[in-house]
Amino acid sequence: MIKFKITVLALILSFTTSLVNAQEVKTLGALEFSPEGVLFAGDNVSGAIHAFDLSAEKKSADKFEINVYNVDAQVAAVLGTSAGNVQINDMAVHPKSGEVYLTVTRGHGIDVLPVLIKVNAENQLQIVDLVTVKKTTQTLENLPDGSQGFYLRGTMAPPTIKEIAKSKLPMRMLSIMDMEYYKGELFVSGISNEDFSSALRRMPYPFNGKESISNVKMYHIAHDQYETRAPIRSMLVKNIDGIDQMVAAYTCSPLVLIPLNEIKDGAQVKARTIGDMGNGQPIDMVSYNLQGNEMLFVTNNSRMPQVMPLAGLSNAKVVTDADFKRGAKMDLTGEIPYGPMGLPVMFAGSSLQIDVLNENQLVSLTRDALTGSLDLETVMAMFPNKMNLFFAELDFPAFYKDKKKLKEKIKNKS
Amino acid sequence: MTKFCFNCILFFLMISSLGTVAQSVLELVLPKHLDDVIKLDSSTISNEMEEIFWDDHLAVFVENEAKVYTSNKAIQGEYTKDRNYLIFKPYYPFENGMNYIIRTKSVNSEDYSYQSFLIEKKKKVANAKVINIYPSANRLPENLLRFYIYFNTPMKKGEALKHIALVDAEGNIDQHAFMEFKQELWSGDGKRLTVLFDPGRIKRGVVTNSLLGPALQKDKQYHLSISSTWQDVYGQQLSETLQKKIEVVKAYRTKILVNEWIMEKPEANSRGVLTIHFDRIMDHALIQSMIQLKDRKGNQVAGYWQILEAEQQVQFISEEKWNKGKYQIVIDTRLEDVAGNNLQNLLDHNKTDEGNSDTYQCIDFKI
Repeated sequence: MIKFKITVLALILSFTTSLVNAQEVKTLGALEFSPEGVLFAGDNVSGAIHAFDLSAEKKSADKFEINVYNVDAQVAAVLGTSAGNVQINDMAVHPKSGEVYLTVTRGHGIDVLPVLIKVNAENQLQIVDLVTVKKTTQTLENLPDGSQGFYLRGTMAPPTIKEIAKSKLPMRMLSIMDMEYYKGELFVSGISNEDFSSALRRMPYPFNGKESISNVKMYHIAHDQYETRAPIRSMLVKNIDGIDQMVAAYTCSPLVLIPLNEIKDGAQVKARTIGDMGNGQPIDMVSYNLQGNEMLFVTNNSRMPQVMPLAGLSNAKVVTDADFKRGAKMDLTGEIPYGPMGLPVMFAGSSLQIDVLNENQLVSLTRDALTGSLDLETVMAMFPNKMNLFFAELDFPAFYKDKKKLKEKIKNKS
Repeated sequence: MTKFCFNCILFFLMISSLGTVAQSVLELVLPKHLDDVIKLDSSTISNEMEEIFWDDHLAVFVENEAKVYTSNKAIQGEYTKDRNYLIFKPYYPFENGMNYIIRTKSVNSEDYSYQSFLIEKKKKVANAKVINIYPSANRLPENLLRFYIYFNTPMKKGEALKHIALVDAEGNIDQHAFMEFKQELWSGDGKRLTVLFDPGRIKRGVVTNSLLGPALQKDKQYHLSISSTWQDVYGQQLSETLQKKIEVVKAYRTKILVNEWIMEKPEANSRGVLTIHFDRIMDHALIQSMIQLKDRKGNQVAGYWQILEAEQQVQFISEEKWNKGKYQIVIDTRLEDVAGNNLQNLLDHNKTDEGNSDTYQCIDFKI
């Protein structure tokens, strides 16, 4: 998630230099691993994607959990700064070692430094040396420059500082929203410098300097309109209805399918809208196996995570404006959630970033709702709620004595 | 851990056999700039000590508000060791205004020592520049002793003579014009530098004077050049290279003669000024502290001195009206002219010349 702490001027300044040397790592944001262990990291400021070769990493322990509480403060400590001076941008699990990687921004304004952190099997934080790690870089074309901000979308009152700060975030920071590696290619969602800005890029890996850029249009159920600007927030490639398709989630929160064979250079792709999770902003999406069924787990900064069976996306009805009565759809107006969107699942706190840690567990970057702490924690895939963290009847020692007595009573009766 | 203890024992045996025990407080070289390293005197750390133990001897933490650092994670960085120091370079530079704690431990000790440091936030300062050079006159005596150079910001020390040069009319730089000191003559705030001509070149009968002659020669022209390559302590270069013209006139070869000063007295009951015309150019820094004005009771008159006419004149601005009656100007006999001669003697007086031994010399006058 991008925080709105960066000043516009600062970014404009850094962009002017970034264009000179795009090979340099300036910021690290969105993350994606290839199955071989190549880590792709989006660099919005440089306007590039860096591929770090971490394929030599091996599993150091058979089974382990990752639990690092106040992870932002811990990252700050090893970087020699305070928690307020670090932002954790994304998280990914290494497909071979099972260890967790975090992209971090240290500082604000023009003094930002990119950081890549490994959280190893012993839950220790290790800074990855960006100078010595083997990397290749693909520079992206047609990116927004650093000067353009967003429309100050008002509420009824005069705009708040938070609203103004959001409007001043350079569009450039949305250049690379999510990446998906699939069969030797990297797919990148984000925005371009065009008015039809929602962009889906694809490029071969190893990089050869070439990319294809297509624009994506989709029908947004909750907003009741066709949208061409706002980017795909999170996506995965899945074989649905016999073809490889991108499953993509947007803000407020439609889910669409895009056949990969339609993603061509210069194409204006019409995505198939198949559902809407309800208003909110999806952040991350992962697929996992739940008792033999493949499920999608979609995190959201304003809703509970949505868990949907992948099977439900097959033969899903593709909707258009013709399928709904006119007007925006709100949570209470009854039309959304719409489609095969599964169910929201209880989660203690807000799961921001999510990935599969092992066959039974997920690892989540979680914002604790009560303390505000940012925690890297392992949750059960089947039962990710950490309900034991709440105070309930079950926390009272006497409860268990009663339970025991009751059991004995039942035993004696029978 | 066992390895560490084994090393400890070995080391302890080694130092015990020498009959000396290394001190537990180790010398630390603290960082002054954000990308500096931290160095720990490694004289007590054996060369064979394995790298994995280095961070036990030297670790750096961010000091949090609760001053709890032992439970914190150490800042990560690169350790190296040379003959004298164990060196820690953090992967990411230190930050301004952040409190850090360094934890150290010598080999023969089980206890850690702690030392904190802070790299102050840089203050925004105006562009570095020279604001004044004294003497301010261009016509200066052959035996000129010093320049005072005033800056608007503290300058980097220890490199003054790389940036200051005395250049003759043909453009030749006199490499030996100024005295080289191990410690340059800076004011406490780092904004005023005193540059002394090599006195050996000025004093008659001294070897360097005989060999090289005076740095400034009568009737010739020079300039004092202060190069823009000079940086202030914040790393800002001077805004421009500055050149002060010098025309050399006859050397000052007499003691300061108070009798030759000309005084213009104010009217009684007026707010006029008292003016003193010197017989020569006086030392700018000393005038300010070595001349006093007293009333007939011997009390200092409220007011201040103003230095005018390129240090050849002073005026006393009284805060009150002048009374009719006696006044006295009290001059410290150590007051110097720009050639270092004072009221007691010449800079290059003969050893046998004892000069004026009075501490003060007075000028009485009536209004």
